[in-house]
Amino acid sequence: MEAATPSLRPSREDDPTSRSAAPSQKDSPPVIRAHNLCKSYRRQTRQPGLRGVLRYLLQPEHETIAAVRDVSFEIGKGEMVAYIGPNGAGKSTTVKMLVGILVPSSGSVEVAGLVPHENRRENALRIGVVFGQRTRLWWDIPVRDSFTLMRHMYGIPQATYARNLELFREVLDLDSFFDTPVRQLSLGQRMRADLSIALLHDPEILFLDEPTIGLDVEVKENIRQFIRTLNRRRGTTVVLTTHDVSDVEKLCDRVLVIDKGRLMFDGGLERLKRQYGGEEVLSVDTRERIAATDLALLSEMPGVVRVEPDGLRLTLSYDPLVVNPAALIETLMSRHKVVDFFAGGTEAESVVRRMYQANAALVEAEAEGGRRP
Amino acid sequence: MKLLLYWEFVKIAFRSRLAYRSEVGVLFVGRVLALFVQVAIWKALLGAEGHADSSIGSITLREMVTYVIISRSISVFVSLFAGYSPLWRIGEKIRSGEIAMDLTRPVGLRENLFFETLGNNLFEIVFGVLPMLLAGALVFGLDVPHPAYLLLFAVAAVNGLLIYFLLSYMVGLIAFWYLTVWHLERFLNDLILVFSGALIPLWFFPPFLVAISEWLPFRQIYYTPISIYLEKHSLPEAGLLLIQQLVWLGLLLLLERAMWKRGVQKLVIQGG
Amino acid sequence: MGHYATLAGLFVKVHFKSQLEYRQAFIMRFVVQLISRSVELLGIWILLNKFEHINGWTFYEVMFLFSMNLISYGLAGIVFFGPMHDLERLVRTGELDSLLIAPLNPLFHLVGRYFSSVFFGHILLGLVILGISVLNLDIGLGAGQIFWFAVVILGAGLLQGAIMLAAGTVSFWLVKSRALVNTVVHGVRSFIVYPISIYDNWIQVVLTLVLPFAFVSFFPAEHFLSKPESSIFPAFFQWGTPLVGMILFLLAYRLWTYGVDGYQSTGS
Repeated sequence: MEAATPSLRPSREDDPTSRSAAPSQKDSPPVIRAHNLCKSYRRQTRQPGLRGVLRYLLQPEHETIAAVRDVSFEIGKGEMVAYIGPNGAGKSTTVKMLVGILVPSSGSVEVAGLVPHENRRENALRIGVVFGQRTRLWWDIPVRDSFTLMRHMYGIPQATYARNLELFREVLDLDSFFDTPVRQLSLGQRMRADLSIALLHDPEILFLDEPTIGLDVEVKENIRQFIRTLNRRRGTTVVLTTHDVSDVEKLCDRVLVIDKGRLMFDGGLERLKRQYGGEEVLSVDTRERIAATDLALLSEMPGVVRVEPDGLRLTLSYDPLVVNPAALIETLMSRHKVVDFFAGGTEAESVVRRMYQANAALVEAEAEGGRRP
Repeated sequence: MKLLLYWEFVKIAFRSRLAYRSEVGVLFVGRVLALFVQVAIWKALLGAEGHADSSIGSITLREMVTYVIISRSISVFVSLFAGYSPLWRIGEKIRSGEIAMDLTRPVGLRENLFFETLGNNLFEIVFGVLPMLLAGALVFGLDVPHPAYLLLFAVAAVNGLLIYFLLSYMVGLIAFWYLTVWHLERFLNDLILVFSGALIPLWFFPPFLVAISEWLPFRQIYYTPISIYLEKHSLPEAGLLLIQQLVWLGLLLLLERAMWKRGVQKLVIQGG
Repeated sequence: MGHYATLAGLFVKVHFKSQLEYRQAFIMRFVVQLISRSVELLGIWILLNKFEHINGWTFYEVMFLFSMNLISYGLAGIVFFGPMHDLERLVRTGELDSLLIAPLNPLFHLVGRYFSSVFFGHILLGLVILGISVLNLDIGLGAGQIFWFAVVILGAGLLQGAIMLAAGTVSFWLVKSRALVNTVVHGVRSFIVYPISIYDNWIQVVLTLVLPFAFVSFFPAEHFLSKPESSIFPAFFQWGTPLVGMILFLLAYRLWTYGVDGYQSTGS
């Protein structure tokens, strides 16, 4: 179970840090532009059995896999954008094209006015990249030495370096492990160090690939807070790929959803929720376990989508257009001894899940029915 | 029942090896090149007269060419450069702690590794030894001995392979006490390279090196089988050589059991 | 450019700092290398102790060949062996991506991060062997000779580096490229332990014009040892090492950039 969500809907609207510095993409010139971006790979195929083996040895066959198909979007300066999708959907392929380490098969891409793969080194000076599962730090030496190396690698002026280092040491608490060899760091410490070296040269755009994967809640929050601050104070554009939908909820206003190489959605998180979601969540704690027959009754109520008991806690997912949460709570309290309840609001997780399902259906329909109407 | 299980090991190793067909091709080219180098060296050394004196009488160039071809074929089994050795495997298993899992299995680790290695070598036999023997025979000419010698050679070669396996395995077991053993692999291979007669037959060695080689097991891997192949011994002598190999095998097995016991004891007591 | 010099200095500093963490392993590798190369020399000695010379080259002359090969191999090995050995893994795991997002020449970055100073052992052993052979041979030791020897060694180092670089670059196309690196680097190198004049003409042609290892030691040694020409090639080839080294290295570098470009268009 996730940590209990605070009572009633979290009011993110009041929190100024949760909003991007730049109001929206329409007001500022785009810093990232992807136009009809496509990327396909060739892969060797191998059939099972002895014949397959012989074929493989003598005359290997190739199949072409389209990892990214016809993706177009623009990201404005100062935006914080989440790029999400299931595994193998084409997220990292897109990011690799944006940072200049992959050449698109067709279509065009422009980052901070440059074509990344044609100007890889210049582009590198304008962007910061963090691959969550790989470190750029030198494994066997203290963190400090990696910082020095990065300073020279990016040709960072002493003043800039000192200013940034001070900020990162303070906000990300680098001091507690600054002289420790990297292989001895915890995952959270390593991520903080990696995030810092990606930002030492004041990049205009920050690419984060799964930045919070495997981290504990506290470190996740620390890192999110830091990214928000950075965005607010410096107007750094942030592009984030993630599996963790709470990253999206806490950081980004805009979501790009990619599935099977296609861009399926581009817009605000709220709109994503309205379009695909509709589902909200209500949890109640009861004094006694609710009997299975009662659970069945609950799940048959109009508007209730799912009933998930977990010990003394019961989580109901419901469609707010059909049933009113107040009515739902009333029903529950009349039938059971309710100790406490939490209204968790819309779960982005479920929105995204539903969206993937919808897409899968769409793709299947497309494959079967040939052309779209 | 157990045999079936071993066959499975062989099959799995064979299959995982198959994935690297380009590697196999490259290795084959490398081996044929080595053949050319060796033959050219002996041609240059024996060239003018076509034969040379040695500690066991006159050796002809044709015999040396045969020696080289057979030696290179054995080396395919022994895979001096294949980088996939029992030593490395057992060393890794101990270092990573995976060995604890193997202790719980009903099949002995030694047998398991042997058949896995055999599986690898099976592939090399099909795609390594046979084409090379063929290439060697076609390009340089290869003597084939009397069937009796051929049979004794086959036995001696298998014994040699077993001795190599045990040596490599035992050096790998050192990982119980000293964690990184892969340096020792190179060292072992170097010792084998000189004292086994893999490149230079012992009959050309100065006497003091021959004396050293007699106290080491390495000559059993190359020199003994190849000298039998070349009919350099009478049949009874060759039989004695096979017995000598078996004695070495027995000694090594005893030593290996002792190392294994102490190693496992250490593992159990210290918990790895 | 100055920026690269500072970085190179830092890379070296960081390298030694890292090695300090693995002192024992470093020393082991060093010792194992020395033993391994000495064993090779022992093999040469056994043969020439028995046969006295090979195609007119004595043991000390072959030692001279061997030392040139060893020193230049050590030079190239320090720079390229580690990076090319690791490249296979870096490509497979995608770690190479981390190097490509830096504003640096990727090869420089790769070398800076993965070079292996342990190959210094080869140079050391090579110098000792060179010393022994020179003391036992009658070689003129003028300043000009020594200077030319240094130039030749650098050229030979470039040549060996080029072969390592080219063989390693194959990682971009083959998943398991270590076999290739080993075969080419060790296998073909074994051709030049003895004077190439022992080989059939077609092998001499390959070793001179295709994979020109003959320029590493054989041709220049013919000059230093004042050997009568015994190969099928004209005398001026004895002076070719530096030029051949440079040309081959440029070609290998072209192949490398081609490989990186390919990596960027296929991903992995």
